[in-house]
Amino acid sequence: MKKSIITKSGIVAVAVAFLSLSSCEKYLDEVRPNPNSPEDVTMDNLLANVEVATFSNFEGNNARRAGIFTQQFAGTDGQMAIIEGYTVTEGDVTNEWKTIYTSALINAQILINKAGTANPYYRGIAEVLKAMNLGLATDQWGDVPSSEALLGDSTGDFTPAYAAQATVLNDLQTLLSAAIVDLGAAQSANLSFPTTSDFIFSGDNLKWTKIAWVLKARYANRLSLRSPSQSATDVLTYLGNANMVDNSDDANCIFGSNGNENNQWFAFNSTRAGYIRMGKFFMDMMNTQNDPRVPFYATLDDTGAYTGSPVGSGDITTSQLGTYYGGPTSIAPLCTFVEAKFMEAEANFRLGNTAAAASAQNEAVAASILAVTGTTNPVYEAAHANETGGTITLDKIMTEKYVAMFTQVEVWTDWRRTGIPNLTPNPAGAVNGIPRSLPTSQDERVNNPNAPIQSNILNHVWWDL
Amino acid sequence: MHLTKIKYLFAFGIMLTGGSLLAQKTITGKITAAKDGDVIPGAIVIEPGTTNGTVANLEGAYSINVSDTAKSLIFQMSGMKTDTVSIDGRSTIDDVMIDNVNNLNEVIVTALGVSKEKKALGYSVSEVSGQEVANAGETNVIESLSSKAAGVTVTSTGGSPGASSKITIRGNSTFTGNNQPLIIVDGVPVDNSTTASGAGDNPFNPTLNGVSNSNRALDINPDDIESVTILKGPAAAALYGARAGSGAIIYTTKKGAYGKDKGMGVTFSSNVEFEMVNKLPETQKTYAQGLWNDPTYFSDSASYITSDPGPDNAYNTADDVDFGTSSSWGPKISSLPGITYHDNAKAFFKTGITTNNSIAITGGNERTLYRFSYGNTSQKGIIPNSTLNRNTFLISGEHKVSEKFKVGTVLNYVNTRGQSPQNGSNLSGIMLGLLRMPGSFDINPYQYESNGYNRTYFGLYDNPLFTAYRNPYTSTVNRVYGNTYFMYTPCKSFQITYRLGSDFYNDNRSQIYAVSSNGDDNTTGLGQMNLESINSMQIYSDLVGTYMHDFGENWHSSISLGNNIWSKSLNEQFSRGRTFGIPGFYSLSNAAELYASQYSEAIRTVAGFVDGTIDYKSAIFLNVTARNEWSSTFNSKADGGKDGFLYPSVSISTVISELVELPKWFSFAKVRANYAEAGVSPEPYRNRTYYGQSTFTDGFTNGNSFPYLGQVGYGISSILGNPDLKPERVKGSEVGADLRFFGSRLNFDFTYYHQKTVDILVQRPVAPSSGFSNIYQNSGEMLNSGFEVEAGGVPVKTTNFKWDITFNWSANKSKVLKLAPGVTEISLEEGFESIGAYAIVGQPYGVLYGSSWQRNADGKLIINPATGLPYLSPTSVALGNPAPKWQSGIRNTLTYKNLSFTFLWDIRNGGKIWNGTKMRIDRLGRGVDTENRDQNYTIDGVLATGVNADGTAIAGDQANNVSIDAKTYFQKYQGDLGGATEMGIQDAGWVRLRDVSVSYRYQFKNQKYIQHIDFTASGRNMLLFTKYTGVDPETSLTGAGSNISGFDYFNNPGTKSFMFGVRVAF
Repeated sequence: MKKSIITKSGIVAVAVAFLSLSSCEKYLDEVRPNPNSPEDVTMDNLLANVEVATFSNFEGNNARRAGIFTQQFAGTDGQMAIIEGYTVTEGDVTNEWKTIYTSALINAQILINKAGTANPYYRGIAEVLKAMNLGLATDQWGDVPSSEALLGDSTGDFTPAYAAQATVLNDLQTLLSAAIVDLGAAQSANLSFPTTSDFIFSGDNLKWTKIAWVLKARYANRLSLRSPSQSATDVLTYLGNANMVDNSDDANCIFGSNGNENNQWFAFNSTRAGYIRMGKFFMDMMNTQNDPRVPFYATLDDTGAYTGSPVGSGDITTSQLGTYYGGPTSIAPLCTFVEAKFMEAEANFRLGNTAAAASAQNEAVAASILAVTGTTNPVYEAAHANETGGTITLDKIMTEKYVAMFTQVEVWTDWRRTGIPNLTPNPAGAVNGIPRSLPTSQDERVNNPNAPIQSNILNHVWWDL
Repeated sequence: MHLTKIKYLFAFGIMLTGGSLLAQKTITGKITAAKDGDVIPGAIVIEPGTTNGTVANLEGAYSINVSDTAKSLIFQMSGMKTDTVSIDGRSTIDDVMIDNVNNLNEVIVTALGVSKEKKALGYSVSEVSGQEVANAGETNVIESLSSKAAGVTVTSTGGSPGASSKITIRGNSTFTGNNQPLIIVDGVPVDNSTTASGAGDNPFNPTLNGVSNSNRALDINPDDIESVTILKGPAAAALYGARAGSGAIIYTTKKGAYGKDKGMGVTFSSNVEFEMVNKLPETQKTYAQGLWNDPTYFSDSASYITSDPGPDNAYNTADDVDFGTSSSWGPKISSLPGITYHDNAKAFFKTGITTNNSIAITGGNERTLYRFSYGNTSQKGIIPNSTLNRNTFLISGEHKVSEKFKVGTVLNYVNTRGQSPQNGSNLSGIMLGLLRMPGSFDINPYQYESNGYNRTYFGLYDNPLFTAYRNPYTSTVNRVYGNTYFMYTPCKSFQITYRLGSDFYNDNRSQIYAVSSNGDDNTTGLGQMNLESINSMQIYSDLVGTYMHDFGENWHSSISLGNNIWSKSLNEQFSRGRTFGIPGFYSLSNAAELYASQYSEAIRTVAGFVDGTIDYKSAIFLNVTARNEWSSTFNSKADGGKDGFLYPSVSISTVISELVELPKWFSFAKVRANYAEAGVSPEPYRNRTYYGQSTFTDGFTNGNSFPYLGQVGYGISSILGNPDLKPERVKGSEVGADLRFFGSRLNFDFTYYHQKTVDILVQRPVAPSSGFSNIYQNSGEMLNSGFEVEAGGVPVKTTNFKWDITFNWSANKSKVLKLAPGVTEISLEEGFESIGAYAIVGQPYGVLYGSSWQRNADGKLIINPATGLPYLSPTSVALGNPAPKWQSGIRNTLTYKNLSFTFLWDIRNGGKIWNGTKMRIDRLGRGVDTENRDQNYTIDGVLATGVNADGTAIAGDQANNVSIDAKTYFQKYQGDLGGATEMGIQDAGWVRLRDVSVSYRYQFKNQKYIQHIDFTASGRNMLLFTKYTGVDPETSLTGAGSNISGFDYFNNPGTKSFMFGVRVAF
């Protein structure tokens, strides 16, 4: 009796073990694939992704911070008031740093690799977008990883070395040159073209080529202090190649009416009402000049006037961002005809070609008025777009550019290069002066021994002598 | 071995009988057990003060001759509480004996529903009786365990109906995975997850806002619980697998009992509970809404601001008069004509009422036992319109098909419906809108009469009453769980058990944000509805064969071989409609913008295990287990993965008192030691890198996401997958002793444990410039060690009066040993910009992490002479450990005849909370401190003489003499307008009277139908002593679904309550 039970139990045990071992793998394999996420995607998926990531980087906190530093806006509450108090900690910038590298740049790089030589238009567009985002990084942080970046999945390099800003600027020029070659390929050299996944230009390779040239000019112009005349010559060469004709050549962020497609100035001002108002300096400047863009840039305040809040006041009774940039589907400029014309004016002025500078300036101001208000304004243009070789000054160029480039990160960059307009820092600021760079992102400080730790936001980046 | 004991007792009884020479009067009776009504053969009956005694026969009947002067009889039985019964001239005395939880041969339910003798266990267990669970007065059986057992930490989310309670045993064993123990009901694991709602395009940690979701153990009816066994450490994992790596909590439900003439028993119980807010942050009562931009505004009534949306009652429209402000930096309310102070919190909170009704029918005969119960809990919370309604049905039964074959089943059906209030960082948040509400604003009416729009003081926030009534979140859960088992015992030494369990539920959720509410994702006020359906299914099966063999007289052994299979699948479907066409009509058909997302997950594990025990003379027990588990979350073998892993345990228990002669007062001594490992498999889909639909946000808005302008977008996941994953290993060792004195009137149980988790799966953060933010890899190490004491005593015991004390105390120390090469800190989960919860090498798990002030060598603040404010440190630091240093529970029970009085003190020492609420209301001029604003402040510190290039200040010698106005002080120093996060860190320790209850049992004599009625009056959280200035410090913003502890950011408050109940047994 006892023995037979032992035998029986032995059989059961063996059967159990056998069942579990042989059918086990198959049983487990059935649920191994991830039903939620793909392992491979199309070039269109990636392009759409990189473009929206780029929109996020050129709007959002980068743009708000630049706008508050340059007093176009006033940070009246919450984290925006903290920014206006010149406190920017390493933890405040991680979101922006991450979105640039782990959303925009890595996917642009994957798209570049995936497109290869068989799809040069996809590759060219990805290269331009990559340059825009890398440019944004170096403008705000100075030295940043460039050629050693984005290798985590391929070489396992998780601690990229930081490249000196001069090198990064060179890399940008190289990247944009490569983009120009790719975008110049014959249509027949492409296996497939982007169309609707390219929100900016619907795959128009010629428009992308122009933007690539304007970006080359933008980054050549960064050397206005390091190499005044060579940079100016380069700017003019690149802009000549760009041949921007009018505002229809602009690269803009494109938004939609669904909540998840909304312009992020709009989204911010809805979710964070009271955090931002128009800046007093900026509004006063435009009001003094009777600028026709005022009702487009700003809303009426509680008393029916267009006003801005003084730095540090926390006053929220003043005007808010208007509908031209602040509506749910308003565009946000990335790289425009207006910017190209102002750069042309500035470069010519630097080389002493004041007449050419004046004419570019007049075109720039008129184009901005037209773009924003939808019409020309003879009165304003007679006063401010009527320069001659004798009347043009750098101050005029940069001041008009400051107004025309409203909401763009470039405004902060231009102010750092030229000191124009002349801004009075927040006297109650945590640091003594308007910040000139961002601190090293916390996740780089913590995880990358190669990161130069930089927390002083008064530090100048390399091009900002 | 149990039989041996009975034989011994027989002998003892016979010896006593031999001494009964002076007997002059005969008393007879029958002795039965309270728990099942079974007779107790072998029970001893003694005449007190003599050696006279007898033993009950096999039918439980006894007969004893006692002297005329005898006043009482003593009834004793192994495993039962000793009773002393007065004779009162009777000649028939029946005694009903109850189980003694402190008994030496106590049997407890362990893994797989197997009952084991407690003395045989080589690891520490705690038990909580069903009575204790019922007395706690909690609707959630997890919360009921709070302060009842050493080493167990329970944290509720707040006092809202259905809000989750989180439980951990001996701290946290892993970084980002599940740290809560496995919940077992009647031998089968059940789901206790806390699932946050979330759209596929939600970029944020959903636990930081929205409602506090329920942990699904909420679906268990506390009235059904017979007993709770808490298995600490990884010792239980051999039988339940990886998921028990953080321990296991075994609930056993009440059952019927076998026996002749058992008949049918009916118990009915009913109680009503009144609930109140127990603690709120204090606010100032003097100053009105407004912005104090310069000190002349201070007493100027013109600086009063309040909102006015204009005739259309909607903000951000052309007719807006004033958007209002969140600040209360306005003039004195007394200076404003027609405006008075309003205590809006008082106006807002209500007395909550909960009723619990349950009925249970039990019965059995010699071959069948059954129990049916129905319970209803109906709760109205302290927040208006917050409810919980739970209906539970349980049917269990067992049938002996033959002497060798038994089948049984337990089946539960639960329907849990509730409406939960908004919580946390949320423009519709209850406490956010309420605590920021200026004293000059009247919370009523909450909506405009003309169009029902939200009436508020600041266009961005919802009136909390509007939220409560117009922005409902509802959840309806239908759940069926249970198991069926077959037990075949062909002979005494061999048994096979097969058990099949399942747990299925559907949770249908709906969140509405009415038109004009700011709670919708984009704060457009156009209305939003989120619908979510969560379907969860778990199947569990185990087959275990057990063989027992004795090697001669003294050596006994048993070995079990088993297999178990577990499968879980989860499907979540989310749909959302925004922008309602018709206000007040809530249907997706009425939405101008629609979105849908889904998430599915499936996990399977298969395991084989062996569990062997050998004992010598029932005094030395050696137990060895081993389990090999295969999990679907590893890479498949075909892809070169290794998906199986083995983990062992060994434990030894020695009952010294059975081996050597101890002094008489030293009743029992046992020492135990064990070493156990548990393997924990990774979360699913971590073995590869996938592409995901991205949402791009800078943290302030919900950002941009896909589908975008008709396009699908995918980007590579920023978290790199890893095909070479290994299991995490929890390696625990433990030593302990169980000592009892004076016939168990005094007992102590000590445990020391040392638990190291290695190969912890870490989302190792990497520099984002590599293109990725994290890699999933096995690299972490963490240590938990600590002491646990459970003790009990009976200081006074007379015939009618008894005083019992039970005590538990535990201290756990956790230390993160290793994260990843070059990594010294990682974030556990996304927190706020100002505060995170981190694992930092050398620090305890989950430390609060944020900004601090710069200090000089003496610890003095370094003050910026230009601003009068301290400098912020350039980098964030650890600010405090949210885990308590030690915790303790002390229960006193006084029993006089049928009257009993019991109370439980709950002490938690240490543990920090980030009081983000205080920092914000100070900044907004609402905190009580800001009452003192008609003075300037000079912060204690030294003036800086300059700043280094890295942003660190150079401390000088001169004491700070720069005085700052009150607004600057409260906003920028004490508040979170640039103030260091350290200002919000507070001690969360407490002493509380967790429960106190008086109960009386009226026993009917010689009544055919009714047996007894119990009356109970009790109170929960009646007293609370704490230094914490916020709500009840037993609070957690993130709830049981999160590994973050210690966040308080406008958390809903906790409660205290009074309860009255009656229970009738028929």
